[in-house]
Amino acid sequence: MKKLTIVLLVLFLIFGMIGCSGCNNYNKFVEAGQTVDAKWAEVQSNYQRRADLIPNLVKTVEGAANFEKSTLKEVVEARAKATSMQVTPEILNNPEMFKKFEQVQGQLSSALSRLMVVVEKYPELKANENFLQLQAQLEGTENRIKFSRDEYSKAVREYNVLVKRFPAVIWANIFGFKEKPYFQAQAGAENAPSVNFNFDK
Amino acid sequence: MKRNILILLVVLSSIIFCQDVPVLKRYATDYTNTLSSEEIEILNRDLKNFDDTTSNQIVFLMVSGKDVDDIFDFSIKVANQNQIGTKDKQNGVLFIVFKDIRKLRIEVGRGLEGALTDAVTNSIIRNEIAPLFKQGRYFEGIQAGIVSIKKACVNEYKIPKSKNKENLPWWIIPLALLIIYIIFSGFSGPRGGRRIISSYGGGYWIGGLGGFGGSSGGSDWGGFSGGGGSFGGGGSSGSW
Repeated sequence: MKKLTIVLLVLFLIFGMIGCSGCNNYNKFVEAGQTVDAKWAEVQSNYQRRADLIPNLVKTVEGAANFEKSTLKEVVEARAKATSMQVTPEILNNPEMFKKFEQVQGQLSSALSRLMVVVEKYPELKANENFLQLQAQLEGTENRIKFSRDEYSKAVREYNVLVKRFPAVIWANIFGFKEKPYFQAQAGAENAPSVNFNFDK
Repeated sequence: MKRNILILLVVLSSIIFCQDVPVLKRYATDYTNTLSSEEIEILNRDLKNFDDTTSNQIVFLMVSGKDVDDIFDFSIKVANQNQIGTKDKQNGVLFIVFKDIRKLRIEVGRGLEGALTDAVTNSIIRNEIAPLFKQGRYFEGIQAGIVSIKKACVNEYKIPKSKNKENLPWWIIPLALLIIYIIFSGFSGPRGGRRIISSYGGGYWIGGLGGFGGSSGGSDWGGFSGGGGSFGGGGSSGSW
């Protein structure tokens, strides 16, 4: 009888400890996951900001530069593709969707940088105050995108280390905390943010 | 063997130091010795004054820039690690000049992005600063830039900073109550004792307060300390 009490007590203690560790880990996962979500929201709003700038940019360029329409069309199409994609926070648990998102944004990045290269040929644009302002805004937005992507990656690294470490990985599996995706630098995409226009050269 | 370790140490420390960004102690800093100390002092006083009156922190930094490969990465690191701007308003600005590569950047804190938009900072760089820099008139260019940045900031923020209030230690209120008590008890006491208590008590405590005020003012004079501001990539870059 006495023995049974001791066994029960020990069992109780062990389960209590396990439960504590579970709660502890769960809270850590949630916290790190929230940080990732917040950083992701910033990335997304910066991409949105870029998408919002484009119509104005296209209009300005169209009015001043009468060059091959294909470059402009490419930008418009890439933008349409990027904005037509429904992005919910769920995307972070869906690597396929995430990759797709990155791909469409990457396409838009390269279309934009191609446009900016072509634009170099049009001196009347370089003297257009409206265009210069748009250019500054676009450059600032690309910088913001770059910065927020870096911040997102940092948050994901912390989260993933937390979720994949032993023994936390056991709890992560039980509670269903999955690894979150990183941004992959695509071929050519890593050059996109440097939209540098030095017209004073 | 010993030499190898030494070399390794030197290499390692140089790597660490290369990645380090400057810790800013003043509002205006020049690592290139382009400006005279009087000019730096003028800028420093001006920017400190602006901080005191509007709480917007503008910080000026001039570096060589030869070993900087990405000016955006560098400037946002400097701005974030020095926490320019206050934590609740995020109203910091870093005006950074990379003299030897002829580039500059105005980094704008999150809270000021509405007033100092990318277009505004770009226009300041192109129209106010670059023309003067092209003529080698660095000090004038910097001043012109700062004047324009200030003008742009003030449109949005005009909240007076109450820095002294925040810095008051907790015991100042009990102390003040004690002084009041001593003074009043001196006044209300018997005629003979009143003068002794009030002059002794008042004189003593006021002397102590004066010491406190002086020391805090001295350490704060012209020095910059970040208030917890953060930067998300706002602002723009340019060259001359």
